[in-house]
Amino acid sequence: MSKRGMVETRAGSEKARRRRSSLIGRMARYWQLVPGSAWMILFLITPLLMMIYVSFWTQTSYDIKPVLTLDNWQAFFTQSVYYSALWNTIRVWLIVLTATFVIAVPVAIYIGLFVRSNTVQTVLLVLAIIPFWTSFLVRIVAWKPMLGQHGALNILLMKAHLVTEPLSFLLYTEVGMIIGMIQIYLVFVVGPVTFMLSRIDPSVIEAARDLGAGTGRIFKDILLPLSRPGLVTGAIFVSVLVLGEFATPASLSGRKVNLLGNVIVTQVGSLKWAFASVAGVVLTVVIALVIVGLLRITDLRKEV
Amino acid sequence: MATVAAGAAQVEPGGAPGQPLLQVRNVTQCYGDKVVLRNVDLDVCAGEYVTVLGPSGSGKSVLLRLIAGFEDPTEGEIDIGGRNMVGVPAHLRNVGLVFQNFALFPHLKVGDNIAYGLRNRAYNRLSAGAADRKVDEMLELVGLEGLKDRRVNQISGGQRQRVALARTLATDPQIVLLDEPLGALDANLRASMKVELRKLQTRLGATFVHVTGNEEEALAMADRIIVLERGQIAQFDAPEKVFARPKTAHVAFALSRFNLVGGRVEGGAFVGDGFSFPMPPGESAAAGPATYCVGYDRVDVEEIGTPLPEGYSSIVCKHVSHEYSGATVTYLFDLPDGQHFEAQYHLHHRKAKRLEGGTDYLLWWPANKAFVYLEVME
Amino acid sequence: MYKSPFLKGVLTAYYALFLLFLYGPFIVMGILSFQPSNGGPQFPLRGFSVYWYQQLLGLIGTSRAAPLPVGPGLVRSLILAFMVMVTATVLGTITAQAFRHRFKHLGVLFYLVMLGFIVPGVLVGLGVALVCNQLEITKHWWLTGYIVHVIYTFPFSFLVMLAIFNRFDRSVEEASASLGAGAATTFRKITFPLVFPGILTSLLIAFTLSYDEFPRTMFAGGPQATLPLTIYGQFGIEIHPNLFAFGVLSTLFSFALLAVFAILIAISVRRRARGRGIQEEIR
Repeated sequence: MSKRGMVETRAGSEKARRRRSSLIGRMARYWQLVPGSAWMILFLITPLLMMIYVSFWTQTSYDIKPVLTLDNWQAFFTQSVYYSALWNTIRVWLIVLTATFVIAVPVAIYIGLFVRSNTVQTVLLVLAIIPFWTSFLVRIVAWKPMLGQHGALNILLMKAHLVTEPLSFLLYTEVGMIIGMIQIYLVFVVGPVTFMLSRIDPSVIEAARDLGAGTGRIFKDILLPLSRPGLVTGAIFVSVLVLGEFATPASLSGRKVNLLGNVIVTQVGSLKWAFASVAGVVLTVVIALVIVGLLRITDLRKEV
Repeated sequence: MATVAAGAAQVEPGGAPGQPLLQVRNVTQCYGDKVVLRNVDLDVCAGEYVTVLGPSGSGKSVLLRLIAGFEDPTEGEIDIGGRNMVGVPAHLRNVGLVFQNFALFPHLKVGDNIAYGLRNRAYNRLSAGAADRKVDEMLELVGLEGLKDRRVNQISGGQRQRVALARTLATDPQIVLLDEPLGALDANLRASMKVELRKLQTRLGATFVHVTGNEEEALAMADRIIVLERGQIAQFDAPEKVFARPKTAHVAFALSRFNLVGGRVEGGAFVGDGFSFPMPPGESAAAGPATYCVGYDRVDVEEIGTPLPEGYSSIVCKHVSHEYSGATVTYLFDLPDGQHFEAQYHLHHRKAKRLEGGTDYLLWWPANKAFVYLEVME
Repeated sequence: MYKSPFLKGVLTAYYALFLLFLYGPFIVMGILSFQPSNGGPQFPLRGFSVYWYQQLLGLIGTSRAAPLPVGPGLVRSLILAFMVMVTATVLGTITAQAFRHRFKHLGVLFYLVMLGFIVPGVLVGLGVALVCNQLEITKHWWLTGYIVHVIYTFPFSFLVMLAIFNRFDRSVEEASASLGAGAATTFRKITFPLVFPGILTSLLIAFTLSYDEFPRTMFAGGPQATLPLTIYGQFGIEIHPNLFAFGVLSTLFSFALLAVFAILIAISVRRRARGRGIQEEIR
């Protein structure tokens, strides 16, 4: 069959090819992107934008009007009750973040690097992670009988003769709140970091030793880089949760500590929506800065 | 009792008798800036066994994927049975593909794997009973009777390969594509599978396109062999013809049986660093860089000073080592400029030689059995 | 260093202390839940009885402490968690599938989805409440509550399925296509069964997160409280050991859920891995 005879039929197929990789074909492939993004844009992005917008509205006693003003913003940054909440939030976040890492990393190193057997490793890790599956509020509540003046901790300390009087600064104070937060959020650091450390091939470390690397070197050049995604993940989890907190401060600090979350809750309680929105926007900015900063350390998407 | 799924139509075989079953016309495939296949043109007739030989990166797996329909070519057409396949998705092409890693369904038993196409294709689905009979037929065909209820991870690699084959053949595809089917097998298994594949193909009268990087496989099994080099077809002919006269230096290189010496054509002779031979009769003598090619098995090794027979070309090289492989022994030499040269003795026809390492010897071959390519290999 | 028994001993002791810190409050809560009826929500423990469990479950007529109104909240939380786990898993699977193609700008979508858990509950709740007020939409736990729960859990489901698909060898899907099966059939018969452990994990995680979710629901869930909100409501009121009893039961429920999940995963894995591969034979 001559080649020329074939050429005529090619015109039809060119159209077929264009059709397949054209609108309908491409749309069919893109459909999978639609549900997820639509849900997020409609139900998350829009409310957040609304919040930003409302922060500029005028606040009357119990209502808000869409008349744009900077009054709310001014009030926020001039009244110490409010801007101190911002400062408290950042301060508490840093303390809890540091404390959880300091406590959790040795545990992760222990389970991930020192425990040889895979079964034991899994058991120990599961033991450390299980509290995640308990109710958050239950965990808050559980601290009360621990920290109070008649609480378990004080009883033990007195029995061990370490103190003569019950410590009163443990409950309904900032200290109590921070202790509670640390315990609640430890899980989120132990998990990811242990996971990353356990994935490190021990022969890599042995090879480094053979080549003469000291402990510090191994830490810096092997452990740290390989566990970085886990560290960043843990940091993101803890940061996001702590920065948005209001329940733990409300319950365990005896309402002495006000975080941005508390400001929002109380303002909404008195229907001061515009003002609550200001606090909300401030919180959003703080979180955005923290996340962007943490993501500069690793691009987590590559790790999945 | 077959049922037809609504809305799906298998591509019906068409075309005039005598028309090739598979026609790939001027196909070019690009991924972004990378050109993987370039102006590929080939025809495969029904009932043929065609092998595609090429190193990794030559685009042979991409070619299979285009024929199977997992991707559409950037340019060019693919016709199967006279019908244009552009825009036709893979599951409607009735082209089977046996994967390199077998791609058996791990959660299905052997029998269910083989029956999968028959029970789940978009057209002409078989009932459970009819499919079952076909499965038994296939198991017998590939010699795996009794394994119907085994799980996929309970059988050996060779058995898995045959399940993959049976699974594809069960649906009677127009064309069977095989992507390095023997690559995952050990040497003994590979040898026996080569024979079995060829027997199966003949018995079923099917059309096979078999892709491989192994030149022995490609030469042994094919009615015609396609040599792919960097995305283009270098030669497409019967194996004996390709072996008798490789079209380009790259084809000769792919066949792994030829000496290829780089140099240049000057003053009617082939000249290099420290050697020179006359051009073989009938070869073009255009001056310029060139490659001299002569088969390993054409070369004779003699002591220096032995008189050169009429019509033979020769060169002096230093013996490096030899490789003994049962029926043949290969002697390895270094040319004065460091290039390599080999002579292969088939021990049924010639006696082995005892050579001293590091000594110079005289190698000669019939001048008219050599070729010159007016190109240099990188 | 890693063979050093001294260091390992130190770290083992440290781990034990760590577990003590982690579980301390639970243990204390557990102990105190067995207070007799004259005991309060702190030490000393005046005896040992299941009084407060009975009181919680409504088995005691009248008691000096108000009964914990957990009934309706529990039902709502269970139904909601069920709806949410299905939706989040479906969305997560579809979106993870989208990432198997090589679209441009998938990074934007990735972070858009991640926002779902990065944005804290207070902010999501506040925003949704604002929108509902302005658009005069009434908030219900099964509508607006459901929506914000999905926003929260969908990213987790998505991450699980993404990880599964990244390790998924697509040649079995292509094999299915080459045998004549269309896209839907391939998904149903090949893809889905092979990613099922991921689906199961996603269901579990989404259920757990939704069941325990509280700040988002507080703002966007409407007047009828879910279980966590009921509990939170009790914080401001007097606390009695029935709350601890509830805490213990709730924890046991979570563990039971985990156990069911582990069993299901083990079954589905074992079903595929029955038998062992045998040595290469020469045939």
